[in-house]
Amino acid sequence: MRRAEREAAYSAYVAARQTHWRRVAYALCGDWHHAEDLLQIALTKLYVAWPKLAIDGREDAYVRQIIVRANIDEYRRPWRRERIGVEGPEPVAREELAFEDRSELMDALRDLSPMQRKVVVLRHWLGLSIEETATELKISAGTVKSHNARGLERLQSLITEESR
Amino acid sequence: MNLKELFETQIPVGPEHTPLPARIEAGRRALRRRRGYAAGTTSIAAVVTLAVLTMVGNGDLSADRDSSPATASESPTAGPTYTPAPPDEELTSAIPVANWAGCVSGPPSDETSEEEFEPERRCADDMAKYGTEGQLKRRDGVQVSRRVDDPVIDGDAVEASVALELIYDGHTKWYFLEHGEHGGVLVADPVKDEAVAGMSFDTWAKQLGPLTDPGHRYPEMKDAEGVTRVGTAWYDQDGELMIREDAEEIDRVDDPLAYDGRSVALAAEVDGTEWWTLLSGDPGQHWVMEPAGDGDFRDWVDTQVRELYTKPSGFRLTVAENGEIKFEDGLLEVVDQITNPDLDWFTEPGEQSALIMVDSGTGSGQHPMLVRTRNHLFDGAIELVQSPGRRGQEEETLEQVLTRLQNEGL
Repeated sequence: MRRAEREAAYSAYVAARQTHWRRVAYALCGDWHHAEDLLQIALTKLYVAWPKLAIDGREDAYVRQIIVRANIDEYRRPWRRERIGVEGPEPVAREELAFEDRSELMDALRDLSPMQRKVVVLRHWLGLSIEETATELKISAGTVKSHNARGLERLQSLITEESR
Repeated sequence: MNLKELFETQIPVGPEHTPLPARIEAGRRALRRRRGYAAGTTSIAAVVTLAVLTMVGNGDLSADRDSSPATASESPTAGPTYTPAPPDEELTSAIPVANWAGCVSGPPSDETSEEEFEPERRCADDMAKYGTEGQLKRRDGVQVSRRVDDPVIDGDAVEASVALELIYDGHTKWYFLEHGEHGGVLVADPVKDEAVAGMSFDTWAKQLGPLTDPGHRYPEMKDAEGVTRVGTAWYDQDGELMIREDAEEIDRVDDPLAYDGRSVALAAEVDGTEWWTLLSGDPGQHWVMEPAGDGDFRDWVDTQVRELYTKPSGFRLTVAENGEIKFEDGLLEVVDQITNPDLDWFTEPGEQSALIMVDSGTGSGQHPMLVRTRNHLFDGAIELVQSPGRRGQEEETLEQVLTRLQNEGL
């Protein structure tokens, strides 16, 4: 594949899908700067792997995997020592959010544990099965189910509370 | 609640995107790095002579800094900046050679293996470092592809710092260097280190600030036995809680994990920084420590304990044909078991479960666990730690635990 062809196809994909994938990243991490970082990491890797992926039509799966795993890896960094024993970063301070970023759903998502949030996003937005979610998050299917059940329950109660 | 529809309608679109040309350029750079790395790994024998010749020289990064558009503020008090360095080729020319007594000054012996020519094997700090006067130096032959000046400013302890993406012989390394009395070095390999896999250099550099900020550095001290202890408190070999003598105790919750008196949550100030700590002796060996947050310490403790309740555990256990649970490593003994308790929220069709009471054999008491299995294979477990509210009360039987779980959930 010549570079011009590769970049034309890559550009078309990025233009069509970058908004969707950044929204997914945002739902996972709750911070636009971090979401943009996650997206850029995924798109950079996608560029490198493009010739093979584009032929197989696996661009979306590849980007999704990179975003989710880059997010996980960040939580597992050994030097993030101040969070030992806890998954995930400090919740984003709500008062720092722009008005247009406020939504019941995002507020509720921020109150889930990081793993519950990932499971809910993968299962109920991106439509992954339990087994696919387990593979993506590198956890057991049983753990997916537990996080899913508790995440959904919590989400429902939070959204109901905020609607009152 | 249709969640998919909620996601589609309520997750915002967000700010403007990075321009497409910039995304493509990032991809091109990554591709160049990848090809460079591949070339480096397949032609090690060819570069051996070059490596020996170049490693005895050195480079002075100050020339780069003076001439590079990547140079950030020259004032260390101006705060961090994240300006990308110009492409490799602009930084690889005419490096002034000074006398840096590096770790490798002569040719390798005949027995030298190829591996020894990897930069990190020759010397831990041999790609770049600060000189005694704060002059940044790099080895001759090392290219700087990205640079972030002063990602960390640490008052008296560190006078200057820099994050560098360095390329030597096809290997890319990320260096964080500090100059000053307590300056340190942090090195990451974006190709080999799982910890930074998938991360961009800029993201890594941005994380350095909070990581190395003095307010986030754990206090360390040597105890009476000369063992370096990290944190404000710890349990010694006899299981006795030790608190730093210079720590000012602000608040304390005794045994929040109900570990027979061997857990504590402590808010304490050391050197002007307040730290919140939750730690235990057996059986959890749990340790969480972070700078004091904006909220209430007691709320933080409750949150940490709740996290523990629902944290899946990585136990290794076997399930007999009759459903009996046994731990492979023998660290825990099952002293009571209810097979397939009526807790349908914990399992799905085809899965089995067991509520068990385990004893760690350390004299610290027993605690219940919920175990899920599928086809007699371990699938997951949740430790049920006694809640702080039940501290001091008589331990529950398995039947009582089951009734509580059926009525209240986890």
